[in-house]
Amino acid sequence: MSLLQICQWLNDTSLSTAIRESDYVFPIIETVHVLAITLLAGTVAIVDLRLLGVIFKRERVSQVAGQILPLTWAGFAAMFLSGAFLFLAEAAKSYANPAFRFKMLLLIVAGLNPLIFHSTIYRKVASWDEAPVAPWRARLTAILSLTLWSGIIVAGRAIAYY
Amino acid sequence: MRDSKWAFATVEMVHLLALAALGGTLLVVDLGILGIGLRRQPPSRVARELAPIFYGSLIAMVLSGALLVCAEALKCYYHPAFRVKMALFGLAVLFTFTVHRSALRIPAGRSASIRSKAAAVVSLTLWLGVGLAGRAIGFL
Repeated sequence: MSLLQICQWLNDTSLSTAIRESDYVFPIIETVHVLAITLLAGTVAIVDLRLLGVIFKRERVSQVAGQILPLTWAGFAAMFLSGAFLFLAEAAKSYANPAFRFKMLLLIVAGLNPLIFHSTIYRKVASWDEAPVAPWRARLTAILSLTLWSGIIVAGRAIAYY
Repeated sequence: MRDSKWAFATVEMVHLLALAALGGTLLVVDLGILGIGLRRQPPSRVARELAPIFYGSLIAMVLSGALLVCAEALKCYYHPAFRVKMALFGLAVLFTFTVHRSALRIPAGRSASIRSKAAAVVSLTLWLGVGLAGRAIGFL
């Protein structure tokens, strides 16, 4: 079964139709999706800016990241769930949308970025925790993160234009 | 016409990016007062550190928002959601620069008073209202 066929099948489910044709459900889910950007991207940007030594220079990186990232995860859960429902409602249309495809690609990379960060340079955070500016690998992670999430937001908005 | 469609889309995207930054600072400060997230640092210090981002993104929101209104001036003028959004925005800004400011002054090592926590809740509610009203403009 190809990906397109799966999307078309999803499109035909009663749940998908119900969301798509409801006056309220789709707008509510979409509103959650847009506003939860603040909880996901807004908070992760603050952690990234600490890594870049722009803010909270006198706070330990592990303190800032350790306390803020749970919020980011809550944001991710909200974005993932709302996004899944939005996709479910318009699966076949999204499949064909170049902005949507690009957004999904960026999301994968945006997921790999912290994965690599946490399993490598962040392991030794104790040695650079108090430094106002983090090692170059950490700064690179931060710049990638800021760029990728900005790209994801932009691509997400572009979906409506294709 | 196609060019102006993408110009409008670009301004929308700036508005969204600035929203992420602005919302992020508000959430970190106010949830911190409520003991969620960045709670081990004094709220006044957190707010001070995040101030450049707050002000920068607020300016970006206002500028991009003004451009969006210019593009759809009549629609905005008559749209009830836009008027509600502007009213809530005015309230939110007023609240942030008055009551909320004094509520940030929590002595180091002490948890926030009921008054400070209430201010944080009101702040989050007002700004959430602005966001919801803004989203509602798109649904006409």
